[in-house]
Amino acid sequence: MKKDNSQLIMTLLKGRTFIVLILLIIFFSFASPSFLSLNTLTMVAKHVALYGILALGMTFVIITGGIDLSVGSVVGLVGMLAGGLIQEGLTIGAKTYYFTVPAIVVLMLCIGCLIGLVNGLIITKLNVAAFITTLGTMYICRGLANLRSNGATFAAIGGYEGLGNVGLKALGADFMGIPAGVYVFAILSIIAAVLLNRTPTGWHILAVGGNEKSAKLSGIKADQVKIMTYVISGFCAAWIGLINTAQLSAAHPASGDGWEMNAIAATVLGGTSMSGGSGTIIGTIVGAFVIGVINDGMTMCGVSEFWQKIIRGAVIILAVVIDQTQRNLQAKMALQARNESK
Amino acid sequence: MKGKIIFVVILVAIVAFVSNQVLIIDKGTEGQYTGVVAFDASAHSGSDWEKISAEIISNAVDINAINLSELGAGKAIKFKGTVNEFTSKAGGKRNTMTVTPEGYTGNMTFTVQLGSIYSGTAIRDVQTVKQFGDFTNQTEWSQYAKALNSQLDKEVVAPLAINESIQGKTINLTGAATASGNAVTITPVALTIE
Repeated sequence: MKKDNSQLIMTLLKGRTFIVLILLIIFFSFASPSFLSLNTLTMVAKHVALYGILALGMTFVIITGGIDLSVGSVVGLVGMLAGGLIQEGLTIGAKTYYFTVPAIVVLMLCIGCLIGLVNGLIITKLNVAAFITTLGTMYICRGLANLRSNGATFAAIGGYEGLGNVGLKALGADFMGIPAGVYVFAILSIIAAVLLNRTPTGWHILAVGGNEKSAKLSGIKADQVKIMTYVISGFCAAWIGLINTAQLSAAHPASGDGWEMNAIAATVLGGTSMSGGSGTIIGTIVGAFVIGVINDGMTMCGVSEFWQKIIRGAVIILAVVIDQTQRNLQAKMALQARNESK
Repeated sequence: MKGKIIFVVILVAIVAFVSNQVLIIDKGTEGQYTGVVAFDASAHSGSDWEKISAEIISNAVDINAINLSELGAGKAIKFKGTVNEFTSKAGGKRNTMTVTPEGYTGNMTFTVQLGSIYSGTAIRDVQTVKQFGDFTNQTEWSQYAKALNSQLDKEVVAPLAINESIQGKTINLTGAATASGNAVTITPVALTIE
């Protein structure tokens, strides 16, 4: 009887983020009558996509026991570089290069990967703590973003037909009523879930996070795996840089400031352990939705921005406390099961 | 080994794709492709100057006929006066002279800007040939003010080659005046030395 009880609690705990999400949606539907409308849900999804995509990359990094604080700055830097390429082109010597939007997207994704690669190399090859490394690249990228235009904004980024660089707006537009960012979020989520759960690479990432030493001893190239997670994170951040710029039709060097924290919050809410070794993509997606629903819901109910911060912080701490409780309970149950089988 | 080959293939594909998706033009020739003409404030000021100077000269009122505390952002004024002191700052780039208008008895000080750099937007604010609405944005509007200032330097002040020797001489001045506290600053539109 007692066992059944604890099993029920386990199930509830495992699905807690999802339950919280449902409760939040129900709560806000009552608190603000217009919350449960197609328009609002589309808007929430649009916002969720922004830090959801960042959180996807963050999930991989955190599973290996690392952290990537640079993603917010990468968003700003990529936005500025993309905006600059469209508006001013790339001038080398006496020639100016104007890239088409698909080429700019590819280039910016490469930039994101490159920053991730630098992060990963410094962390693994020079043995610098991930927190410090990415804190450093966070500042560097933000500085570079400001340097690109001397702190000014690239406004009205539309491109010119004659230069063949129109079309970035598509990344910020709606298709069949759903924002493009949400499609990108969905596609990247599927790729991430398959990568993590269905490929050897995914198992390697989980193994490195669980126990790096034994992963190494069993022949996994732990350094390569770690570097790859930072590359993935940079890749995701570059997408957000592009989508954010497209949605605003402008690039500001301070955009994306602090977004890494939303991504970390979504990841942790989704049940990914900060100490590494466990985490799921679906958890992160639900976590991102929880953050999104809390943010937009509170705004719609007229809760002040200051209170929003306090509530958001409390929710994150609560999530980790419950996470810890679950782990303890799990360990206890495993012990119980072992004793019974004896 | 396999991983490296895949990496190189992806890299080559990216380079091939990007180099196929680029338009290379000569630096500064964007206008030919976009049809957008870069704003050139000096073109406006050059063609407008004659009208503007004629307008200010014909609208100018004698400085003794107006209440100086109501000059505000700018008014077209004229007077005959004596030069007190010539000052040259910033390596000769900010020349000014103080003047006493004939028949003036108040306690205001009169400073005439003599360039080559002029502060303020008095000329632009006094004229009515071009309005703010004729421009795309406030950046162009402020560039227009600067262009008018350099136009007046070229047309009016620079040819006179004013230096210390002007002290004590009598001048006939028409210009745009602004006031701040006890100081009246005049940006000249017409200036003759007797």
